[in-house]
Amino acid sequence: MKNVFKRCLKLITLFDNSNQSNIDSNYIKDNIPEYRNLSDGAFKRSFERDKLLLKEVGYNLEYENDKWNLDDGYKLKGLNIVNDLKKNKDFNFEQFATTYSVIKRYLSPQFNLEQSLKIIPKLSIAAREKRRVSFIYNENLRKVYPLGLRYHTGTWYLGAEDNKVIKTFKISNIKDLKIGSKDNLHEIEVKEFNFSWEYSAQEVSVEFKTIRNLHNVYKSLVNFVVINTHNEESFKHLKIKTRDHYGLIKYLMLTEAEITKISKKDATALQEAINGI
Amino acid sequence: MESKISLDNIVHILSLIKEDKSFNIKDLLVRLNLNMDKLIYSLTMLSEIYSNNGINFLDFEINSDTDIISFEYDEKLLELETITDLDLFKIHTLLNNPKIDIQNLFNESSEVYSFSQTLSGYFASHQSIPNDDTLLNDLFESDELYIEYIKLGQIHPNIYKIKPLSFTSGSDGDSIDAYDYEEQKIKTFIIERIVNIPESNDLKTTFQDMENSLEVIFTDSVNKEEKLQFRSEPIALEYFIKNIDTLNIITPHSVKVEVENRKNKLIKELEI
Repeated sequence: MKNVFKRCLKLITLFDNSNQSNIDSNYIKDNIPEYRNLSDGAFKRSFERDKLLLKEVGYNLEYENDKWNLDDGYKLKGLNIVNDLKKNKDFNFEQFATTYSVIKRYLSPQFNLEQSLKIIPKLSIAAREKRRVSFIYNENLRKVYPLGLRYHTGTWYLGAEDNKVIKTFKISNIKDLKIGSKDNLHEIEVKEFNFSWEYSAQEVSVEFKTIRNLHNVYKSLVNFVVINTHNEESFKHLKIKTRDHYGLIKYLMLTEAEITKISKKDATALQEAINGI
Repeated sequence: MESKISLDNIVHILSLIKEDKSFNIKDLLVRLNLNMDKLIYSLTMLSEIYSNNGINFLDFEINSDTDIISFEYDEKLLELETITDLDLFKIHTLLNNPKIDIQNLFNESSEVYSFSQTLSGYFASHQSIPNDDTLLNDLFESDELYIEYIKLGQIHPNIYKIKPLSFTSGSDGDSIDAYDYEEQKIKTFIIERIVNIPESNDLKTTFQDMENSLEVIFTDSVNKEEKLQFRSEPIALEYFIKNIDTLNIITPHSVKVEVENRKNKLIKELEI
């Protein structure tokens, strides 16, 4: 592993010293002694492994082959935020770096984001730079303009314009993400991304009794407004209203809450949602 | 808690060395979460790297009388950027956990708040998380903390006496790694499932260990067959109820039946 770490660090320094211009694989092979004596096949395998390891810590070595660019080759990406902050002369970067270091001390060295979430920084930067992205979503190729993110009941979503319609895409279903090479492609500004059910679903109101602790654990599964509530020993009585039918169904199934009052119309709406699962 | 050497550790070492050219060894080990052997291993490896102009990337010297470690390095090290977007996103997700009140979590609260605000500009998201009543203000401030914690698949909390060590995150959600005094081992506690930080310290450890492995085969939203491993059946049950609108269990039968039972029970509840 020692040699792998060495190669990875040399790779980063190689890019850092190369004035941000793209560099090709021959240059990489010639300038890193551990690669130099490898056969082409062995070099390719080692380089691909090292790229993956670097990706795990956020350094993305990406190949750029824009047809209008004569300078094809690899570029080191994944450092946009720090580079952007450093450009702002009024920003106290030293303070930011110190605070980062203080917080980092409390992060587990094994801290590992769920694999699917690792594309969020890339999507976020693409949205800021107004680029187009492509990805496979539920086995279909999508080409969209990412506009921002939404975190809803424990799940991250991408808000994006797809054929002039603003849609939300579940991040964990996005595969083979590719970021376009051109920036500033649109002028769309959207602050909030709503799901279709937030406009169209029938608002239901329900009263129930559940174990207080279970309510605390699972309440983030559903988007709701509390109409009234009171505690009775270890139980919680709640009257809520919501349009988030699936969220409510999951919450009620997990807390095994006892429903004390619901109108016929609202019960039918929830039953239809359950039957649609 | 000591960790294995990873590339993340190495990059973290470099980021600290960029801050200062000398450290008290004990302080440095605490900040890096490493033991002395692993620190020496990492530094020796770094000292074997030569920069493009042929000089050592990094050199170090330990003064055992004063317990001070000092570093000499090529100025190219200062140009090496060690804070990645991914690393900042990990911190952002933790600071945005509704149970973590960042204003109270660290001594330098205003700096942490401003740090968090800066990151929010880059990971702007429309959040829809209800505020939580149980804020974890006391984490890391005490060496002995009592928490009321509901284990996955259980409905009643247990009280644990712990020493929080670090934040982490996984498919179950954000969590803390902490030393459990009663069982004398490091455990992971999911932040969402800490329901209280009580005064009372009546330790109850009545649960049986459920650390078995269970494989579940299911189809996803595009009808593709997938497999997942779970530590126990209740954990699998919770996962599939949370994803009931997109995933369908094929096996094991017991989890499939329990999901159906819960569904039928709810349908019955709605018949009132």
